[in-house]
Amino acid sequence: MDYKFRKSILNIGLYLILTLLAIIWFFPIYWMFITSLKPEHETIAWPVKWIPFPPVWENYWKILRNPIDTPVFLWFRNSFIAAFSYSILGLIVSTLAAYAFSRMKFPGRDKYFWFLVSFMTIPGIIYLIPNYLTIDSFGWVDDLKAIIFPGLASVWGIFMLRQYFLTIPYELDEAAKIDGAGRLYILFKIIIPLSKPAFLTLGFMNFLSNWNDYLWALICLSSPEKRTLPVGMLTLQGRYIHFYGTMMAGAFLTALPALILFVFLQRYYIRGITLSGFGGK
Amino acid sequence: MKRKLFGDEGLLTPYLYLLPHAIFFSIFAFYPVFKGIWISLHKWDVLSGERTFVGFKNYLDLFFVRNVPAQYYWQALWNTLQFVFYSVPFLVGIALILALLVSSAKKGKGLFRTTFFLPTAMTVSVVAVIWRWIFNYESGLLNYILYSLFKIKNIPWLTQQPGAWISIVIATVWWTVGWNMVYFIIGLQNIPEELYESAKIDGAGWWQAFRYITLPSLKPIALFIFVTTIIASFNLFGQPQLMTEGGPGRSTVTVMLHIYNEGFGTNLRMGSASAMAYLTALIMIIITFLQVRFFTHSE
Repeated sequence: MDYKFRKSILNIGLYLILTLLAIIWFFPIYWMFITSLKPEHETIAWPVKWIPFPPVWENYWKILRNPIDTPVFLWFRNSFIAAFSYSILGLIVSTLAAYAFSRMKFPGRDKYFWFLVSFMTIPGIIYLIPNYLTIDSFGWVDDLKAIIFPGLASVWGIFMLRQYFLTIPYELDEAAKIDGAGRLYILFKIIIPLSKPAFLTLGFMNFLSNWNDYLWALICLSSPEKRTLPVGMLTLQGRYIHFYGTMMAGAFLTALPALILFVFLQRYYIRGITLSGFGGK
Repeated sequence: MKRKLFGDEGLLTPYLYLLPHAIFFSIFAFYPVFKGIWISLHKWDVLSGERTFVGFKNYLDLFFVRNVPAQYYWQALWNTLQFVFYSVPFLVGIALILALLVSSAKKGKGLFRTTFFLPTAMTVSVVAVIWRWIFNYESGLLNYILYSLFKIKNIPWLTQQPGAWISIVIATVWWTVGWNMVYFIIGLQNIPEELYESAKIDGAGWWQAFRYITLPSLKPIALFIFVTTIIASFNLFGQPQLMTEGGPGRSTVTVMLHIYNEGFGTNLRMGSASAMAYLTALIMIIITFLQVRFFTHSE
């Protein structure tokens, strides 16, 4: 058979398989969305309606108009405050440490760095109970501080930023030093501007992991108005367990912000994985 | 000449930069490792407020299965190992297949990659709720499709085995396989094109190129993927909690779920829950170590 002809057949096959898989992969999200647009009796009706026309928004109103039992806006606000603060504070804390590790000489530097990195191998399961008791002793149970601060102990960000800072030529620092620039000036005027992709990556990764965090938020936040979106879902599930239209409306409201952010920023995610040195080294 | 303590070249300056992280690290990462061991040596009941030092009693109770929670622990550990066994081959295998397909596409690569990667942006409670709905017994989509295509009567996916594990594995693969796919895609990109070209000159076919170039080159990233995937599967929590509620029976109660119930849910016995957490962590570290040994030895 003609080589070119065979190649184009293979190509068509490849795209057919990919398209089919992509449809399957996207379908649960589509299903969640269209279920939320059906009146309750229609969600369980067979034959299934694949396109809900006309769309009905009553499920959304049911949730949004009940700010006492299902305060979705409050959950959204809580999630946003926690994820945003965590991501900004995480950037600050990690940048300062990574700057010291990559640009300064001091006794114990490498030992301390590997000591920190070794903690990345400790299974997170052992932290739940002692950290909960610490949070409790601080009076942070049922408080967003519990969602913001413990994660700042993470070593991951330092590791990633240090890798990145090391790729910035040291001659730039030297030149600035000769011109009389101080440490902080070099950090803010040279290192940070040159590390924008790394900052975007880390900031976004921290934001999303905090936004989606379930187990820790479940342990720390108990009263309905203090919850974040992932745990708020639990309230919805408790209240509307047999009302799938309403449940899916809640699920869609919870997932939407992260999905939108992700579509626009996922390339930074992928760059972050490459940067961290795990990609193929 | 005596150096200053502070200022740009000060002796203590680097440590000042490390300090903010060190504060959080010591409170929330270093101290809790020891605090956790200390708690595990106590009868630490939140409800009664009792805190009595009991030495290794919690561990001995576990090893000699001296009470119901200990019995449940071993069952939960067994359940978790089963899930690891069921899920990891799919989480790695499907990821590799998707990565190979996406990398072969010349156009629309980004679109396909984004589609498979998209579910990872969702929180576990949303994922669980969606799949709980799809696997619903009376009116779920899957039973509807099976009935209309093959006239298969409704299957109680979530309340019978092996349906419950199948449902949890499918939901988990859908949710997280994008991560592994992305790692594999990066791994594939890092294979030098010349290797394939010289193989072609030597007359190697598609399968030989895959077998002798692609697979060996992916080995380092595969080790990383296996290690992180097994750890992630070991930590299974939200899916059984929200989809099957640990059922049917206790067959999908995982270690995480059991420790959560013991420490935070109904019992609030933090001492024994801590002992379980440490034992589990030890098992996880041993499994990880064995994998690294296995991968580096078979070179």
